[in-house]
Amino acid sequence: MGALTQADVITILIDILLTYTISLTLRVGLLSIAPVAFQGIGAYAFALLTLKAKMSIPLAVLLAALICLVIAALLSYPLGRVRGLYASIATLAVVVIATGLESGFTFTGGSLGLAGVPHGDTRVALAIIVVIVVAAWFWLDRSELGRRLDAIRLDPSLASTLSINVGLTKAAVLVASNTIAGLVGALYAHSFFFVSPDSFNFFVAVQISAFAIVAGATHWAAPLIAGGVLAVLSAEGQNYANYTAIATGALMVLVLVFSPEGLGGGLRRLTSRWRTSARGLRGKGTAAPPSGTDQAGTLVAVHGVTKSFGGVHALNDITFELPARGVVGIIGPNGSGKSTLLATISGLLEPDSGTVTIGGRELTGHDARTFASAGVTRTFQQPKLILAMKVWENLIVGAREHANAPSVRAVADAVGITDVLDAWPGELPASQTRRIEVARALLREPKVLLMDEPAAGLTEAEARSFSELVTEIGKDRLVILVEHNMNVISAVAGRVIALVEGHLIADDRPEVVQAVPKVRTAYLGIVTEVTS
Amino acid sequence: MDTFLEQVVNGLGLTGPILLVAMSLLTALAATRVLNVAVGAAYALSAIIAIRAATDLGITGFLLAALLLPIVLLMVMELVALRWQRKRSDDVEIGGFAATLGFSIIITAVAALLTQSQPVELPSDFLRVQQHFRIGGVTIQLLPIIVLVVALVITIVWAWALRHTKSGKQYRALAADHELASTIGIRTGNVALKAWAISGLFVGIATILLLLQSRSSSATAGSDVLLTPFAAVIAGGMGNIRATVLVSFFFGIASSLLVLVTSSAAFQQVLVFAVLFLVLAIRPDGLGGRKQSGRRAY
Repeated sequence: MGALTQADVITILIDILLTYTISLTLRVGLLSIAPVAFQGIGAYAFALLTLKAKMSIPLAVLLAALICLVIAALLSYPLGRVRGLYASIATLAVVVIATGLESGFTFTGGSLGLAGVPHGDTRVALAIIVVIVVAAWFWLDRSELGRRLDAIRLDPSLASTLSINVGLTKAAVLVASNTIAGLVGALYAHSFFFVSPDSFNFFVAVQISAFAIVAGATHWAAPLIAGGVLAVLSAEGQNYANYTAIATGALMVLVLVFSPEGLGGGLRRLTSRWRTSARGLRGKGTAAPPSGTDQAGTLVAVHGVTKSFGGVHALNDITFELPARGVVGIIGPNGSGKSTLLATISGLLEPDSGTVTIGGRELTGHDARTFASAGVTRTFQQPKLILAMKVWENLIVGAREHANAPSVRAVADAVGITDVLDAWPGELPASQTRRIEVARALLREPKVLLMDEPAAGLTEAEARSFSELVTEIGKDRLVILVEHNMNVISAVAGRVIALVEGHLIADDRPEVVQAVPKVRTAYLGIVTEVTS
Repeated sequence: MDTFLEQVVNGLGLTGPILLVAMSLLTALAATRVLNVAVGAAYALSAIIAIRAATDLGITGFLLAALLLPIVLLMVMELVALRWQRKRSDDVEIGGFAATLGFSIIITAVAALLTQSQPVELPSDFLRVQQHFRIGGVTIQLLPIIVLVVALVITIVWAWALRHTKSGKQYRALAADHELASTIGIRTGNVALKAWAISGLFVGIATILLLLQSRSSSATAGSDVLLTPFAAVIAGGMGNIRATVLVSFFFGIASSLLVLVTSSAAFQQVLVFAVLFLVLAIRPDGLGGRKQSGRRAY
């Protein structure tokens, strides 16, 4: 092994930083290779500002980073609209367009690039940025924000019902990652006399994304280790560059096949035993602070809601109003529109016509997050918990933070899950995961709690004790319960809405609704005699 | 006017290779939902070895190397990585795409090792097709027209097969729901492997026809071959054959007409990818994609 030259050290520091920028996008479930394009934009901006505008070096570095910030912010809107794989491809388009423009224009020196860029030793500056980025990531791993980013990666639809602004957060992550890359690019140009489009092309982007994928996104040290080792290998083995590339590519494929969370996933599993524990949770406080909602009056108003899927009317002109407290049951046979109705009230589906009003605000057409902010929270038919997080982490990921916020411990006590706070949700039975979902929902201090068949999969005894919990919760807020289990409904609901084939056919006390002939026929399966 | 017409005809010549590689991408996509970015690298390596074979073994060696190598490469990718990924989770779109990026690194490096990163060329007298004819004032080269016709025939036959043959239906079932496909008795592993083999065959045909035009290759030649078809497949809605064909023609002709405006070839890819970026920003599911049912609209 030969000694590393100054240029090697600079290259390694830059590769580590670029690995962090791409890993950051992996953290929210994206794979953006745009940072390599922004490294190029920053480098060209620095070169042009110093060569053509004769600007001083520190000013040119700052201005180059600022230019990248502006371009990244402008691009974040279209990039944020695109989902999943398409988002990766859109960032690949950014790389191809940037290198194409750099080699096409004459003022950027065409395919030869620009030479004679003012030169200096950037090792200290780059090392300082590495330290800052690593420290920021270390903090991120322990912060509320980090858990929100994890929730977006692991389950975006759940994240939005927890009132996390998925689109804005992803856009902010893209802007941050691209701006850091732009700053790094300016320092790159200052380090190497010249810039050329080939330094920021498709192949370079693919190589750096390999570093990031091997690193993963879930541990602060992973990009440092993976990016560092792979960058040292490439710098050291320049004579064996092709062998290094083969090894990097093979490692990337192996990671993707056997450990998609990368090195970070492994490190996190190793350290999670002693790092993440529920001990730090606040023990004081109440389970449910008095809610300020007026007891009288209407909280949820559904007016003339219609929704069809390809010609089938799932909901047909549904109208009802619900008060601020109590448990309301929604019943109906399979395919009657129950889940569609619930999805409409929680903002996951937009009705074709009609309005949904929550607490006096008409929210029709808004997304799930706006509904969540208005006080609507839901549990799912299949409990949606983030399996890669412990129970207590699942609880606090969407919890509100303010002085009077209910304490996690108190809510866990009230719901009966104190013993499992440190467990992984995947190891727990349905009776517990249902309760965890309820606790998470209560921590959002909902005005309306929607529950989709919470008794499914529970034994009779479990269902009975769960009913008691629901009754208790319904004393302070509105609970809307979609349920097949008639015993649960009669035990808890003061009012029942019955749906058949998308039509509302009854809305009254449970015993009255059960007696309606159409309900008996359609739902309870009892054929009644037709009387004229 | 003649220059304009000539550029349109040139554009038709560019469309053939775009369409061929796009069909290869679509085939792997149809069965496994994976966008295979390693197609470019597979082309570059196969072309390099085919050139060696042409020099040492003559025409049979050339054809065998060009046709077989991409098939083997793509089958290995399917067997080594994607099969295992599918076992872990049904959500292979991003993981599979990233894995093919990894293969692309490996194959490009192998190609660079074989050539010492230098371009290699076909022997100058090997299979030269220089026939051309004139219609009106416009000279038309025969070879690009042959490429376009071959590409169109393959496209039409393949679109028909996907719709009307049992294998085609199996591909679509597999792409729609891997788990369901296996429970209704489709041997998912076999079907996926076959699809990747056919995708490789299309790369092979593209290798032969493109090499006869360009007569040279290098380790990094793959990105030029890959990028425009890649953009056409995505802008066409990732699975919509008709839209992909239309976008391929648009890209071919528009890139060619661009020469009338600017002398720099670098702007061709800017044009293609700016269009792709706009399509994604305005219609996040591509031009031919259906919003709810997603990518596959045959």
